[in-house]
Amino acid sequence: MKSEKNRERITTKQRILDAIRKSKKIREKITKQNILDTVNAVRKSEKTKVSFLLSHSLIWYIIFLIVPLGITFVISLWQMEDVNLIPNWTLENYVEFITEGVFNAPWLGVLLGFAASLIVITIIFYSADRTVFRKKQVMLARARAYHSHVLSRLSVHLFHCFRKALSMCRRSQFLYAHMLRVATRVAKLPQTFFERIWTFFHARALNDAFVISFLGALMGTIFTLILPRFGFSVILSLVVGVILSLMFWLLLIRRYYETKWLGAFAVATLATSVYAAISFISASPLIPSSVPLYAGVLIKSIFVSVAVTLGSVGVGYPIAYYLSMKVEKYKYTLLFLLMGPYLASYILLVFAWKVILDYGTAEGGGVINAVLLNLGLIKEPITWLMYNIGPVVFILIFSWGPWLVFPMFANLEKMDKTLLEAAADLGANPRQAFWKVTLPLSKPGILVAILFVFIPTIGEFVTPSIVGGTEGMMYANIIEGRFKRGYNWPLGSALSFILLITTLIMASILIRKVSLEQVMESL
Amino acid sequence: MKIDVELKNVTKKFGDVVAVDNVSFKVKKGEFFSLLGPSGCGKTTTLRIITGFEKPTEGEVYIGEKVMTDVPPFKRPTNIVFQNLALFPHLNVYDNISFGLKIKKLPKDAIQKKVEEMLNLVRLSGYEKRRIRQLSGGEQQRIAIVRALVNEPTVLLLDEPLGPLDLKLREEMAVELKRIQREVGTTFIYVTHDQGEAITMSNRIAVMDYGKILQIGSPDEVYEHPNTEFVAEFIGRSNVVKGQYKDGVVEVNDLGGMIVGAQNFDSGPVLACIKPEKIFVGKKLDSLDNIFNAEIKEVYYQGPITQYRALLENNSVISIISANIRAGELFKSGDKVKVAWNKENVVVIKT
Ligand SMILES: Nc1ncnc2c1ncn2[C@@H]1O[C@H](COP(=O)(O)OP(=O)(O)OP(=O)(O)O)[C@@H](O)[C@H]1O
Ligand SMILES: [Mg+2]
Repeated sequence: MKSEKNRERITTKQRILDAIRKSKKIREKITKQNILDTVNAVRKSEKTKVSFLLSHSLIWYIIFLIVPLGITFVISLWQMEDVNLIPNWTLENYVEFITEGVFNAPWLGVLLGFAASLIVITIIFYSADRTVFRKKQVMLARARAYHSHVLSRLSVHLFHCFRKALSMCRRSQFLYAHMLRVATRVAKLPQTFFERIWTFFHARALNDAFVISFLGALMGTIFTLILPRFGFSVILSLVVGVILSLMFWLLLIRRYYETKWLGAFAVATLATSVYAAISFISASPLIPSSVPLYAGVLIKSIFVSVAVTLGSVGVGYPIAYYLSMKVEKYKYTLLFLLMGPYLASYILLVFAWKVILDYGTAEGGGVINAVLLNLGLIKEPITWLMYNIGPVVFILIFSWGPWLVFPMFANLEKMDKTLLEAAADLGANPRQAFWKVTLPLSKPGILVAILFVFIPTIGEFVTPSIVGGTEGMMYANIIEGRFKRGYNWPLGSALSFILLITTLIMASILIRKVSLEQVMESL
Repeated sequence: MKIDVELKNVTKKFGDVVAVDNVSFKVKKGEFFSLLGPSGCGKTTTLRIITGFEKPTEGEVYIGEKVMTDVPPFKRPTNIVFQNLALFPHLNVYDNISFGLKIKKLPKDAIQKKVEEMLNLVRLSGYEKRRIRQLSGGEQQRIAIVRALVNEPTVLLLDEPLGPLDLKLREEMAVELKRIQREVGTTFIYVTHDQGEAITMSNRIAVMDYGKILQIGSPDEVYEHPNTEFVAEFIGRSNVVKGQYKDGVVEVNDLGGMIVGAQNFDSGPVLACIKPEKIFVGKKLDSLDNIFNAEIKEVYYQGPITQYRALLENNSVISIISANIRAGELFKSGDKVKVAWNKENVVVIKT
């Protein structure tokens, strides 16, 4: 034992000596060849290290990932008859994903409608901006050639307006400034409130075309999906949309175009009218209020995952920020206390929430309902506390929140605090310093946190099965159902495989947003 | 003359530590003012009081003739170049430099113009898109200086900005800094522990020790007429000898009398300080006011000059810097020589 240690020590010493000798040699004659040689040597050693690591992780991958996934995939192509698996190669299970079942979710319809129109309008305006306006001179010349023609004159006019609308979206802030002045004077509102809204929309990340289409899609959704639900007839909301649209366009043509917003609204209302007209002609809203079951639940799971991610990062970041920036003495004690919830079994915690939120009739329900009933504040137990997606999201947020503090805290701790002093020195007040320095620098930590929570939550299974009920069911519960109650392994496998692909796509989108190196550095 | 910065009886305590102790000074407009002192003497703290990062325990701070003691840092017309630079790693050179201007909401083209001007000033045009990580130490240094300077502060504070650079680059950057100051004419307050830097660059120097300012004066004043033992030793590494003063002569134990310049002192214990370069060394020396026997102990040949350390008859060591005017006139260790200096070159400090 001892001699082994000694030998090790000797070899280390030898290695160091060798290294010194080598470096001396290099220093003696630094030629290009020499440098190249050392670089190659380093690369080679790196390569061996990498291949060593790879061989290990390859085994890991094969045992824990490729084999089970392979089996899942194979089974997902088979079929089930009674209780027997039949190797009958077919894609039927995957087809079922988009055909089978009915998932009623009006809100999902609205969201999907919004997303779809957003995408379509963005594409239209973006490409219009890209292609049409680059060639505006040519097009204008061509239109002028037919100038006597009324229609072409109109088209020139429209073209001008369209171009104005877009270019307005770029430059002017006139109307905004005016609105701001009036609003602050009339309502005695704090100026910063508007400023904040303004900066949000003005942020460079929001491409102008995106802003426009966002508004367009929003109004489209309001006029065709939401207003009818509040008793407006489809025709009435269509009329409102068209009138608004005309008004904005008239304003534009009268050249009150000193504003980004006027332009934006003009284009948006145009989009609205188009949207509304189409759904009017087709005699039903373009977006159905129900979708196939499996796809619907998967989309719902993704939305839940987004909500949980936003919520838990939103809960965790302030804690991490506060711990890192404001607390000095008990920083690490408090950090350790955050581990507290994880000392108890997660199932236990969720059942505790069930006890709190439940509304069972026989026992008088859970804690909240029992207390409220006994106090006489309510006559009937409150039912929306339990067995829907709300408590699932709520519990997931608060179980993830503390956990996410760790990566974000580590990242904030690594930040050089003199940068904040530098920002203050350059005239930034604490809030500006936060938005311009702290937040951008905590981006890697936040992205790691998002990765941590987003991907596992899509496949979340325990929480919805305890507090979600049928209404709060998520995708993983359906998979479980296929395997257990339905006893349809191939379908379950197909559904799992689809989940895997979805998760992979999501993860790759997220990872592309930040370099992996940056993420690892922040930990 | 307009006063840009004034500290009035400023004291800063961290618990029991007195980092800055009753400091007062005025900095004139356009001046290059240096705070010089050893590590931990309170230089950075003084700067942080001026920028507003620290609130003084006592005293007032005036900037541009206005009281600024309670004004938060982001509202002060000062800018600082930090000891560790503190450039924003997530922004490129352009965004770093324009940070302050963007907060002031200057129009875009004005910002662009200013940034270009500034990059020209430090000879880094075309570096706009570079990331901070892709810059060398000296380049980062210049960007940090310009990031502060572009805001046209009333006063620019520099906290040992040349600290982490290697010697050659330090010298180059010192020249560069002086040129920038001359060109823009901004008031500079420069913190350093390097006496050479302070002497070559400053209009005035304040020497600090243990949170106190010991002496304020032009470089030659501080160098030639130190008012305390600390200043004498810290600047120019004077030889300091203890003695008793009486009628123009300082009596030194076991050495005899030393004639000093006409200084009106009462009799009593004093320190006599002699700068090493003001001491002549030779086999035979005469017509100088003070001549003593000595034995050469150490010789450091440095090209243009040679530094000797010699033992006087009272066993005290003095250091001597001798210009190598003629070749081949070096003494060797062990040589018995005479050392001599004139009476005007002895600075007497009362103790
Ligand atoms: N926040 C603080 N809390 C407690 N003591 C402090 C604090 N900041 C500085 N000090 C103390 O005040 C004294 C002066 O510090 P300061 O940073 O001003 O020194 P300095 O002259 O800039 O030194 P250096 O040349 O090493 O940068 C030091 O003794 C230091 O330990
Ligand atoms: Mg310092």
